[in-house]
Amino acid sequence: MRLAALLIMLALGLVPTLSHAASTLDTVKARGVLRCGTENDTPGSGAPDSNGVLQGIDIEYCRAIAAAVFGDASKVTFIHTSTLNRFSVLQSGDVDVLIRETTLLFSRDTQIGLIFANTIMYDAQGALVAAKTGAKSLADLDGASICVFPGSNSELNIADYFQSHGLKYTPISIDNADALRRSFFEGRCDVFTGDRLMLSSNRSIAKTPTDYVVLPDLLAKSPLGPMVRQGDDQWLNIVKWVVNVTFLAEEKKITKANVDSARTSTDPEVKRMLGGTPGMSKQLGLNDDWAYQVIKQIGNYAEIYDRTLGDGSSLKLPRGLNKLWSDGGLLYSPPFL
Amino acid sequence: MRSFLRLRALVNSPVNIGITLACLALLAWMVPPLLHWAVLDAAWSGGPEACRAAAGACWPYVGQKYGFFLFGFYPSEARWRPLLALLLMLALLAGNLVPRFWNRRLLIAWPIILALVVWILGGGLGLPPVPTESWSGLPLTLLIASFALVLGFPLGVLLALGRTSKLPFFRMVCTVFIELQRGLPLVAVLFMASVMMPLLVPAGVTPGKLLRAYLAFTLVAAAFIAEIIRGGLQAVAPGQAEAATALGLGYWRTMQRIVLPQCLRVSVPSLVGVAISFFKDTSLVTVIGLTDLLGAVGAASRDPVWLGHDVEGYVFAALVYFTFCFSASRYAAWLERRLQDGARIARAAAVEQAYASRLAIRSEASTA
Amino acid sequence: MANRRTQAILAQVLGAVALVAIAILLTTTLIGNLARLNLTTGFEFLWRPAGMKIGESVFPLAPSDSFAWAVVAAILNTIRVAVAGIVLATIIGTAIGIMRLSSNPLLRGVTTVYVEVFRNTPLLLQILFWSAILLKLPAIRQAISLGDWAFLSQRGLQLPSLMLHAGVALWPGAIAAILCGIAAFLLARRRNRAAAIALGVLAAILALLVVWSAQGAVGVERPVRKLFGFTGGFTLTPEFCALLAGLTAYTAAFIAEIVRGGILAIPSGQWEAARSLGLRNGAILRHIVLPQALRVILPAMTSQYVGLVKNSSLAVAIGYPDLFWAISTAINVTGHAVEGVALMMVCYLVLTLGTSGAMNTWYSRMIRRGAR
Repeated sequence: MRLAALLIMLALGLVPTLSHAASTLDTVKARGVLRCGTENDTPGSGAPDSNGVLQGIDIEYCRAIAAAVFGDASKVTFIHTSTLNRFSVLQSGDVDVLIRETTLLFSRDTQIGLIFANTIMYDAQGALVAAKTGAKSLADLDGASICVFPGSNSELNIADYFQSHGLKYTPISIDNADALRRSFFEGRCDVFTGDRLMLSSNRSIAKTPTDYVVLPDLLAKSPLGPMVRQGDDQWLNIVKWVVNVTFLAEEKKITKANVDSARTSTDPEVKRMLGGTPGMSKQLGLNDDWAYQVIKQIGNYAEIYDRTLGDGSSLKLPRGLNKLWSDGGLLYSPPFL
Repeated sequence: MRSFLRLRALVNSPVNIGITLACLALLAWMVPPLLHWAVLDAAWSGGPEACRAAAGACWPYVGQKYGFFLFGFYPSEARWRPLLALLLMLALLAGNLVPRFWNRRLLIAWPIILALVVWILGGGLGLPPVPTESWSGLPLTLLIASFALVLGFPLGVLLALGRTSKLPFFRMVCTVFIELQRGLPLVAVLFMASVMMPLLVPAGVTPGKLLRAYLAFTLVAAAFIAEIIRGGLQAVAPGQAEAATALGLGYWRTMQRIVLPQCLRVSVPSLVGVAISFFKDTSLVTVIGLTDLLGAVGAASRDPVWLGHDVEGYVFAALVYFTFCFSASRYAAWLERRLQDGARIARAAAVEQAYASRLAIRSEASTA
Repeated sequence: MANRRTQAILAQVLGAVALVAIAILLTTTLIGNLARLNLTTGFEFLWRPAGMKIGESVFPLAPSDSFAWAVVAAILNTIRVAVAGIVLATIIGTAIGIMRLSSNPLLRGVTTVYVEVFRNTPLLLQILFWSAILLKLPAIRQAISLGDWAFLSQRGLQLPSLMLHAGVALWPGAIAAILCGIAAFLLARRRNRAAAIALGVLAAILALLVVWSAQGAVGVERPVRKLFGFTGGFTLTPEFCALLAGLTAYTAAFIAEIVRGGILAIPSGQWEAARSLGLRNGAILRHIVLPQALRVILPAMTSQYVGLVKNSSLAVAIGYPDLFWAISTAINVTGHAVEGVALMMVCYLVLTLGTSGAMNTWYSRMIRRGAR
């Protein structure tokens, strides 16, 4: 009986129909909810607040994409991913977009069937150590044990650094943020290395944060951004332009609070962006007001940063390079024309 | 008097005196620090400050977090749903323990109650939907173990029949499958299911993590169940099947009516053993990112307000696992004795009957 | 009768067709999906530099070495912890199994508690527990030192290691001595006493010569405490220790039950007969009961050993770089899921089937020898 069913399936040519799949946007719309690969264990990027609701800059961007697609920022499911499984989760179609403080690298952009949209945070790899070690630089740490996430670019950079300086170290790599953090705080590792956002976040939840310092060494540049699968340009564009719009809104001083009045702005670019030219976003597959929804429900980049990483958060990270180009930073949105 | 005699064994020979002293030394070394940590120096009330002041365990942490331990990331306003699901599954398990209920109705109860549990947890049809990613804690642990056993059982029976079949093709396929599943670590099977399954289904269909966990556990459980059933099949006297065949019963009829019922009766204690080991092994789903009981306990330790009390959480988890597994293993031992007794009583009854009939024959003979 | 035969053949052909159909269905889907996801296939990724450094390895390994070498190092790590675990679990488990049958109620109670606690909680939980305990050991600066020869700290157990600065003559001499020793052992088992003694004496002389020629060449290296760790000596890392402790304690509890069952399976008449011959309990256990119990015990032990090998994959939870850890990392870094999964399956099957194969060979040889 089962065999018969199988033969019928084969006869109906089910196999060929499997290969041409629907576009990501159609899949998302049909499902009615965006599936976003994030993390739930790193405050600032993604972690539950006291009410158990996930908060963080990566979470905000997931919600922004949901706002653009559905006009409703709440239509998103967050899938927890680890450093190790994040790419396979995206490759397999388990999530529609991966926003998980992932560093843009040549190899990740080209070799694993995935592609980065644009950068939402210019970070750098650093090193966190206990203040009592008295270390002033990584070079003082010959022979140290170093906590690092397996499968991260930090793992490769730290190997390069120690090799080129002729120093020795022992890596401790566990693919579980809690376990790795515990190893560091309990003294199993002398150093915790990774992106400074992650390090500051870990420092902030130490019993006594002042017992730990982030060393001044910058091991590598670390531009963090959302990733999607290769071969779906429409979806790539959606993610890219949702991010651009948050930059542009800050540049044009449009906030959550004043976005309604900005719709009648005299600035033609603002009008276009907020849906003043019907049909402009048709090729993107979105409603005309998608950018308005993003700003209205999530806010501009400055608002997002302040809530999740800046003064409005427990991390209080300075914006550094993550300022608008006009303020001496690197954030630069192409014109909305 | 008997207990006194038993106690005398503590000191009745130089060797036993030595052993007793060594045991006492071990206890003296282990028990006081444990007692201090768990009871005397522990914080029993108050908040995180009280815990930081106490030298021992922090039980208010468990008091504060046990809801999270049990139900994890499930939306906290709807905790009644995982609670109800949990109670339903416990009731089902309890029903299973009573041999009097072992009948067809129980077999039907399993899928019905599991479907009910899935509906209560997942929503739809009137209940607000909750994505499977949010299912966590003890209900998830029980759900995965139950699914593995309920789906693995029929598959395991088929595999066992295949492996003992006279047809070489089925024998070979089933043997390879069973040995493959038994030769691989469960973690690896879980990982493979989570990595490979999305590549083996049509594009656009995304099996959730939970489904992948079901698949992996079901396949492995089926292989282990198959081996137990195979052992049970060997315990059934070959004459039984031969007699049934001689009576003209077909293969499936023979198996279904004659061989399997006897085989299952023998296999039940071992099957309980498999259930226990799979219940424990559900803790491995944290490897593929699901939050079971152990995962929820780990996640709770992340709360910055209560940092550093993970051991208390693990003690809680250990107690829950122990309660389930220990009672199940006691139950299996009881069942085994009962089945043996049952067999002995049956044998004794048969002997008695034979004896009685012989007596009757003899008396008949004597009267004649 | 012929009808039944045709039926059987037909069933098998249908089964084969179904199997092939399923295989084709899965493969086409897989190939389609791989193409859609722009994933390349092939094992050449194994020769690419891994880039990552493996925390502990039996042989020196640089980050620039290939994934293949990383996998080899990881397999050796798995074997290392599995062999140590099997030896320790067997010794401890057998001891506890015997103790559970003691006439002393206190000893019975203590060992019963051990067995029940460790059997009825998940191994993962136990490994996390041991790992947490080992993290509570003193930091390096306060390391517990045993006369500066060994150190116990958060960084594990540091032991002195044996250094061989061997001369050229040393190795052939050592090998010859070992070969003579093995030959003597084999001859002794064949009851060829004279030849065995002669070879044994030769082996001893050779060994003495080796030791004499190696004077000064053999040294012991002590671990030396540095600011961030130790140099020299031999290190058992906390990850290795936690995993080993977990595997040993868990498996020993099961082995104890198997051993107890095996001993109980020996009829009490054997004990009584041996006692009446004036043998002491220990001697009866060693010479009469355990050898017979071994027949009951061995098959069950095989599945425990295979289980231990498989359970060593839980290393991933505490970061011990074992086979599963290395291959899953490689898969996630390179995206070669299909090949990595295949490699993982082959490696584990070789390890587990090898373990059970070795045990089965031993068992059947023992049965044959018993029958003789």
